[in-house]
Amino acid sequence: MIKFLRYLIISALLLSTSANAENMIMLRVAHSFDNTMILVKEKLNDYGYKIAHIQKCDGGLTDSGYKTDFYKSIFYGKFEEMRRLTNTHPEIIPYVPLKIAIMQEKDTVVLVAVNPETLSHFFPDKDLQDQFGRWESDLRAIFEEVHESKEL
Amino acid sequence: MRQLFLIFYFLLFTTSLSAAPDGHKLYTKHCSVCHNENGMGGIGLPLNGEKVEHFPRDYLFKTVRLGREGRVMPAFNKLSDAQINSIVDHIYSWKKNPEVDTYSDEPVKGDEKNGQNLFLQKCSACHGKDGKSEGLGTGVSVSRERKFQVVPPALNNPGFLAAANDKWIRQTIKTGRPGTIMPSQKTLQITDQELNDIVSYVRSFETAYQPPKALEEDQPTLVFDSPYDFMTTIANLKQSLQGLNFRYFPDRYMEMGLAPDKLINRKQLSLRFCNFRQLYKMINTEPRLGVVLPCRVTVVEQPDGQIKLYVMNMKVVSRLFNNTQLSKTADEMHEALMELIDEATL
Repeated sequence: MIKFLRYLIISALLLSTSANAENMIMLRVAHSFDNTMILVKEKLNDYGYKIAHIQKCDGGLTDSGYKTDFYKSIFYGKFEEMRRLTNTHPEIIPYVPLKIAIMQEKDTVVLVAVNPETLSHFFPDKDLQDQFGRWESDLRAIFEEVHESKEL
Repeated sequence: MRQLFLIFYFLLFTTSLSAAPDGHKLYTKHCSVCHNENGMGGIGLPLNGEKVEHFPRDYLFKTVRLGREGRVMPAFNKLSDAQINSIVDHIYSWKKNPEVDTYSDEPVKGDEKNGQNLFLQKCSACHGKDGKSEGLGTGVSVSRERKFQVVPPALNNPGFLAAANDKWIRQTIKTGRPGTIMPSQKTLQITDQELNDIVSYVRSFETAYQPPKALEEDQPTLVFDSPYDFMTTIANLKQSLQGLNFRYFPDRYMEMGLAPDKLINRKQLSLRFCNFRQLYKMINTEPRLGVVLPCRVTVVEQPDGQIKLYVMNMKVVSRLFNNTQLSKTADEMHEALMELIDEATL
């Protein structure tokens, strides 16, 4: 009985304090790394985003003598949104352009992004909520399309 | 009329069958990104193969439901019992032995104090002196070099302790974990009583559990004023970065790449930097970290000429990862950033 009660108490605590599963939007695909990069860039363009730049985390690590598999981050956004948001809500500056981290894990590739919806907890201003919602919806659609795409 | 009833019941039966949760689909949607489609592991531990052949259903169910606080694995508290059971069914479909192991909830009685001594001698090299696991990160090492091929589980974790009962912990120590470095009772050279003592000690972690503190009222973005002009502030930052052993990347205006050069606001510049030794450690601890990297300070000149610096608050953002090890490193990184800003704006 005591053990059951203890389980109930710990369960309640864990369920109330655990990180939300949706803080990150993630995808694993069986494409090659290079093809995944191409696909993500294509899909971002299809949704009206531009690639700001690509950060080669793997390159920097390898140059510094550390062994790592492919690991890059794609920074993307829309100019008008960026201009408007950084003017009206400069507190969002460190979080834009948006990012997708792409990493190789053996013969699969993992894509990860912070769920834009999570930003609504950080920045509860009503003006921003629609924007975060659109970003989330686009990101989910892009990941879905990358998942459904055939190897190039 | 009777035929109509038969058709009705047949339809009802087939509808209820088709409405049953599809474990494979749910696994693919919620689990495969960390544990891999074939269960071979990645960010998460392997679920397929002899390593997990004897995982009881109840243990898997509670692990999915409660997650592992601070160890990346989230609590799937929005899935129904039926959905979690179907995921467990899917994981069980990989088992070679169709038999399901069950262990009673009866507590194992032992000497905690002696268990602690034995734990420090026999278990702590892998599970950590505090039972929170030794080595960086979680899951399986596939992309980088780490101390362990499969990171030993944190036993001093409320999710583990709620999911694993004493009898099963005992059985795991007794037989070891084939396919991993977890040895058996025989290899550990401990008696049955000593085995019970270790189980009692592991269970005692439960009473010491403290729920994590709620996030402080910290802001997700830290904003600082610089008394210097735009270019001097940037030069100061670069000088401080060198002093703090950071390597900085070429300057980037925030809007670069998103608009033609002539439209870019040249009063918003991101200074991006990295300490690769620290980065390697952090990515081994949390491979998803790339979503908030590299470190950066954005210098903005306001219309009134005031210079402001914008920095992501790593202490707040690191909490998104449900990774206690990362939170600790992020706190150190936060201190380094504050030192950087202090030096550059002094």
